[in-house]
Amino acid sequence: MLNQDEKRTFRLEKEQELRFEVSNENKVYLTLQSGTAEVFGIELPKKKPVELCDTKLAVFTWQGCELQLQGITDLEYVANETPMHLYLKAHYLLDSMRRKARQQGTKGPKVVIVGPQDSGKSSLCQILSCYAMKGGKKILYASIDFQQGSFSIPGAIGASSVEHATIEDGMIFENNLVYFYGHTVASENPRLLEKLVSNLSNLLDAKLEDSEMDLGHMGFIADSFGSLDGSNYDVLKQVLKEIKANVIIVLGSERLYADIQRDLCSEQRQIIQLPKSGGVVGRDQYLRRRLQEMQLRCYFYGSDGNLNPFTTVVTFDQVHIVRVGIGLHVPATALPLGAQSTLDPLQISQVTPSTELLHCMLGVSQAEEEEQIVDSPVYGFVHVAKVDISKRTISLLAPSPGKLPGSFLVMGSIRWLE
Amino acid sequence: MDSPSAYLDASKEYSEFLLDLTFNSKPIIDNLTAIAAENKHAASAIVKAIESRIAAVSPDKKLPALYLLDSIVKNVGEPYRSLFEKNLQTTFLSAFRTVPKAVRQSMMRLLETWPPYFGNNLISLLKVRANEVQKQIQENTKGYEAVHVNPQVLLRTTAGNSHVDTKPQNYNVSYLERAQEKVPVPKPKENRIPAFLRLQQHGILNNNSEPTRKSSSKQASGVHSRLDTSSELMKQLQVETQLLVDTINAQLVRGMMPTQEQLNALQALVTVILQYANFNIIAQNFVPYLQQHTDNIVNQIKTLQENQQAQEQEAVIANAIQSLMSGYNSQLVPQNSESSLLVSERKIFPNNSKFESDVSSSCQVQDEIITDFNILRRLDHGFIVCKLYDDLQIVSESDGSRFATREDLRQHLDWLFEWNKRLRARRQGGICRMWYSSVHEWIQGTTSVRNSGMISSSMIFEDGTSQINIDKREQQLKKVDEEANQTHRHENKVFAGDCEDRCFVCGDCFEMEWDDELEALVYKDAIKEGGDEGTKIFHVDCYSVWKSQGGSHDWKSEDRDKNANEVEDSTLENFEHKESFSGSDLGFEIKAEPTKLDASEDFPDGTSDFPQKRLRTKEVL
Repeated sequence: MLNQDEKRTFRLEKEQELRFEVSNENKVYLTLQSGTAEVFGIELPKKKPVELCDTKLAVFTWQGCELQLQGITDLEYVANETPMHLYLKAHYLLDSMRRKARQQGTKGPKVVIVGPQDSGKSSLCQILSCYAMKGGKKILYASIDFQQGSFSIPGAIGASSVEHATIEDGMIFENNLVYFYGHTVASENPRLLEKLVSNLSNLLDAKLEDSEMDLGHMGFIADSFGSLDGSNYDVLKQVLKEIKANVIIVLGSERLYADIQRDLCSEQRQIIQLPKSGGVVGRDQYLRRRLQEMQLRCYFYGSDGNLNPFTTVVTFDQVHIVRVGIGLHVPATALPLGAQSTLDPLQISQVTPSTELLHCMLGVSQAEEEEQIVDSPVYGFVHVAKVDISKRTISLLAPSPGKLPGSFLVMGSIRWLE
Repeated sequence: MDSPSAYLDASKEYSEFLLDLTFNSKPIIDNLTAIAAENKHAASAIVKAIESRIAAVSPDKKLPALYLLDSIVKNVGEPYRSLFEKNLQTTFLSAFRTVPKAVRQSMMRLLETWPPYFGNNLISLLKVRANEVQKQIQENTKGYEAVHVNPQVLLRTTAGNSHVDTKPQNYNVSYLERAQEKVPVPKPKENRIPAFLRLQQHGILNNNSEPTRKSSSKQASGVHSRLDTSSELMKQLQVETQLLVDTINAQLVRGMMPTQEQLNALQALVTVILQYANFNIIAQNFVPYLQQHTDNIVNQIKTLQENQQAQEQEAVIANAIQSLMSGYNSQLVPQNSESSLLVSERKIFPNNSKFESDVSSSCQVQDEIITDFNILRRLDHGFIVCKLYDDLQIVSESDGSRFATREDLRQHLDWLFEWNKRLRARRQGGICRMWYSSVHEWIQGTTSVRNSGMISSSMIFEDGTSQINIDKREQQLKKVDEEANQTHRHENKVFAGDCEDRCFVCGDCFEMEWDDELEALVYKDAIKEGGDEGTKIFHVDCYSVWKSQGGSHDWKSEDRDKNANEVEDSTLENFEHKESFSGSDLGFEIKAEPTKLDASEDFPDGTSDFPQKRLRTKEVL
């Protein structure tokens, strides 16, 4: 065991990477003594200790540096082999396309990063976004990763224009547009997912079109959901088409690259394969579940527990709880052989409030009419904390105080035991 | 030779033996000499193998091969001597141009021993030529040194030149790469093409290398020196090209196909020179030479190819080179008004016109636009790192962000200040997550105060209308006025259990009903007046009767106006003010019974102290 106060100095050569893990009980202070270094694309300030907790980090240097660590880490080592130079080149490619767009007055590249789970998609996404933001630029970021939900909550997809990033908080999303898919499995309702992505894509286009500044030429960078050994490949393919990606970066899977190359290759589309970093840590089912729960907790309470959610009580008549595509959770295998579900996957159905709702996450839809629900983003999410059948009231945990901004609450299959 | 194929076999076989000759080894040279002596029937093939070996290997391996030539001529003599003699000038001088200084001296000494075998005339001619070459090389290197080794220049100029990019270098890189890429090269062999090697040594392929940085800095310091640099470079490239053309020609004359590497190198050189021809006079003057020789080479390769069908790759490169040249011509069309001819050429090489248009368009841009990842893959990434780090000189001390201008930094610091303020507020627990943007807000990108998530009392009592955007709010306000004209009902809803349940005038009980907007039980058709001390409730009808009798000062309309004005920042103070105002005005003693209601569960502590707060309605906001 290392002494807590012991300071370790690491001298990194050009293009080396210091990787370390900090558990949630410990705090680690990282200081850049000399040279330059970056954490997933965000540069470290010189001689300013950065406090880190419960994280796995990689500090990379292009030009060599000296780093100091103080505090207990679970693991720390210096890696020589990184795919960073290829990621950098990918950035240059995108940068070239943006400059070209600027010259010709067209729209910038629409980038989607795909790959298996745990291939470092989100990290690459952040690296590319932060490189693009260097020099004070703004870029559109989209997340169609409904599995992890790092953008909002699991089961949600969305987009935001990003201008700032800090080492502690990563990219800072301030003006968020979020759609609620409601599930963490693509096969649950692929049609709904495609519909939502297509809505999101239209709004992204509108945003690029509308951009007063440079945003349109910058294009967007989107993080996608992990493709699981080809099982949700068809959905992914459709989603890539819906979002009109013209640069697809395939991370760490040759098979996926080959599939996409075969199915989506076209004149206007570049498909790039990049290797995954050796620093990416695999996550098992249990950890994944824990991360999803953390993400939900984070939505209400903040990653540091400093946000204050509020409880609201509504009567059954004040809200309309709906579900999109009811009956779809009957798996295809349960149907008679060769039979297909005749139910419309986008069908809206009312859900009668019952204890079944308990612990459910509901999306507060921006729709004003029932028909708009599928096409409307959400204001946010509420958590059903209590259903009182006799009093006909529901206690909801909402992120901010006051009345709910919308009356349609969309139910999915996301549950959270606080 | 009996047949071309037998000839080729012999040549190939001997080439394989030659692969061993990587250093100056007497046993190997003796051995190879013996083989040559035993195979005089294949002399011409062996001679060609040696000559191409001398031309193709890297500079450090040329000398051993020359020693072999020397050994064969001296020990075996005819027919080798006369065969070597034919091409001696090319063989020797080509090698001489590429080797380091020390090797050049060895070669000069070797030359001294040759007059008995090759005759005085030839050797003295060679000596003269060799001296010329030596002088030329010295001048070139001098030029390079002047550019490269001048740290002062670097120091003085880097600060100011962050935007002037390493333009010519970038060109080189991409086009050399592109040229190289056109034909898949199996694998760079140990005998890499000198031209490439040299380019690399001079930092042309490697943009990160110090010399390039320095030379680019120097370029920035003035147009004049920039021209100087490119001129130096051009001279160098010119020498390389001449050498390569000589070698290839020598091989072609002997009916030998140039190797792929050679052709690739030639293609790369031609590409680079053609780019420079746009602004460099030396390059421009060199174009006719290139044109003549490349045409010659290409034609010869084509004829050769017809005879030996196997060599497809070479023909592909040859075509590429030719199309390069014609592409350049077509670019000059408008100036030379030879359009008809060249348009037809363009038709022959349709791919190439696209390629050429790339060249011309990218001449105008500062940074190379490379939209082919395969090209980028082969490049050194140093210059990209520079773009992300060194080109952005203004660094924020507090968080390490980099910017190109002070203004950008200032804006960033403004943001950072706000952000840190929020983080502090967050630590003190005064922040909540806000609802997400509506489509309209998102597209507009309006970052409103509300998004900061600071919790204020007004937010809590806003009844959740926080997400209604400004337009809607205005509409809402109008609506309020209209509605208020019709009835005071909304402003004066009375919460059940708030106070006495009998009408002040008629004394009847009120019916209770659920109010959707207030989310609470209210008395039906009830109206309320007065503060904590003097609240009284009426039936709406009774109220009007009571009021017509002059019972009260009409504070309600006043209050409404005030509310409309203070929509944004109504706070608890306002309430207290109102309460005291009305309370003092009215002297009625009606006992208030503050009871906690369902809807107030989420209010922070002290709810029961402010039962009147619920008088506020949604519309007022």
